[in-house]
Amino acid sequence: MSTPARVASTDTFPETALYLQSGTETVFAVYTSPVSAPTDLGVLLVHSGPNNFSAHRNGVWTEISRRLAREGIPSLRFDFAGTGESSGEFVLRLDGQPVADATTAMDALRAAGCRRLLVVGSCFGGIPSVVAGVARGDLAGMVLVSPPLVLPGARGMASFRERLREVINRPTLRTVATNREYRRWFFGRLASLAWTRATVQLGRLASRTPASRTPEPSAGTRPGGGLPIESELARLVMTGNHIEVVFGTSDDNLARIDADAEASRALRRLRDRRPTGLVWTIFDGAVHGLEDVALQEQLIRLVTGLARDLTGRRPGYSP
Amino acid sequence: MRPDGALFVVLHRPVDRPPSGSLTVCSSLFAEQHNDYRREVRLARMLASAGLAVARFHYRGLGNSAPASASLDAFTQDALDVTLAARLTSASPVAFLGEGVGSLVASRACRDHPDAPLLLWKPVIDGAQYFRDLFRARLIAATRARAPRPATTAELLATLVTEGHVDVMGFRVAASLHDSLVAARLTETVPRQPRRILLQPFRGARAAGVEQLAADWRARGCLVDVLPVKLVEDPWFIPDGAAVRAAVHDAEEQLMANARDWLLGSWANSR
Repeated sequence: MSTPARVASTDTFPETALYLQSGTETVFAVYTSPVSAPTDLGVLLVHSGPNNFSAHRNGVWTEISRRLAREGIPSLRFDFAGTGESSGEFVLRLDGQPVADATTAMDALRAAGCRRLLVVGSCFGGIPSVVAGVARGDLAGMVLVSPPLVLPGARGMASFRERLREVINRPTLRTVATNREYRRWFFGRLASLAWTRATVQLGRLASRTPASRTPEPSAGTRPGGGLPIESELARLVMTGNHIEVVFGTSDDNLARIDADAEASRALRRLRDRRPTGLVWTIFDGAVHGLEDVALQEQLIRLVTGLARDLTGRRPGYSP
Repeated sequence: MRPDGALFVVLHRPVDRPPSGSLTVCSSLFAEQHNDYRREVRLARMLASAGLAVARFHYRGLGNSAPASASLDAFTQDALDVTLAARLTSASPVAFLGEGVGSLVASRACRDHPDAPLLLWKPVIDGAQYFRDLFRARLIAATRARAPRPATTAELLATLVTEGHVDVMGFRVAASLHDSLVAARLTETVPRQPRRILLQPFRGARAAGVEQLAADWRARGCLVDVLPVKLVEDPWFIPDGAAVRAAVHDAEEQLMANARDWLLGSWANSR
């Protein structure tokens, strides 16, 4: 972390600019200090990636940070590598640099004294946040704002082997051994993968398509559909995190889930297991891209309200 | 502490020598600012490596800056304050870059610096036309989002008067900003004395007025260069997707290199 500088600070909103080392890149962040008695919760605000910067559209992240500061809740907003003030080139990936950036930002909040984290990810920003968050034990909750849970097109989707590896790995097996709810979800997921595999093989036999040839996409199903981060989401929900997924009725990212049978089944599986851990909020209109000021205000209230709930403080708390 | 509230400012400086000059960047607004952001960061880093200081900032009330009332005069004052702060680090000459509607800010700030070269990227020549196009883009955005037809421009303007602000594609437009920009014309930002100006129009509607603007300013004794750029204006919508196509990247590199060479040449000629 390089020497901090004050940014846009006023008496009401003490803010500090940080340059954080994320692998070989330098990630820019703004830390907003609480102006009332600090809580142990910190809020990380993750923007949508390309063509965005730390303040987000219409300064929504800045506004959330400053309202949280009044509630005694510190926050950090940052630029992915290759965006805003950070170094490097942005790469749209579900692993690698974006996950490292999210992890680095979470670590910076912890270093500032926060024991628990609420992570708010906008669009793509939610995905590396989930991947980074699942590997740590300090997450209290997540708000995913119109996340691309189903990626458009088959490019970048995991193969069967990759998806199997995603499910069968050390942290997952540890949770399977210790968490009954997660165990139920895990075996359901395994059965689903096996069923999907069997269906594909049977379909190939029926159409005599060689296994090495990629089937043509059809209007109904896409090869490699489903939720690329289903395993991570499940683990977060089953281990007691509050996950709030926010969509607008006209969001393409919501329509893609409805159009993808496997993704819809996966979400049903998640919701059926622990409905209290996964909250599904649908606003009327378009949430994606935060292109509506009225919806921005609803989102700001949702985030600040959830953060306050997680701290256990009442609105307007003063020590 | 500035009486008008603190600004978010990034000052890019050469690491190995004192800066030989400084450039203040007056950015565009709304979605266009998002689309331009990285280009301005990359320009600043390129110029810093060429020995110049570059000051970039968020206007008052926007981005990471402190909340405040917005207007063309206020933004111009922001640009002047940032320039003053940047000059504290070196006594070298200054220049201004305006991008999009920031051209109106930069050209006004220039009045206080008679010798400062002025660079304008995809300049907005007429503030009223800018808002007509912005409000029209709002209708296109609603159609894209399959949203109900939004208020007409006339209704929007009425709301601006009664409410003091309107929502345009997720950006709050204050009446004070709208009213001051609507009255602004780049042609009327008369340079008070001959100065060097570089116009770099992008491909799009704004480019149509650039030759006339250059002719007007030349008639007033300015030394105006026009270097069209092979990039689209892209002012109203923030596109999805991360990849900057190689062609766009190359055109941006060319744009920035031309700006750098022109600026260094301007100062070399004036010494």
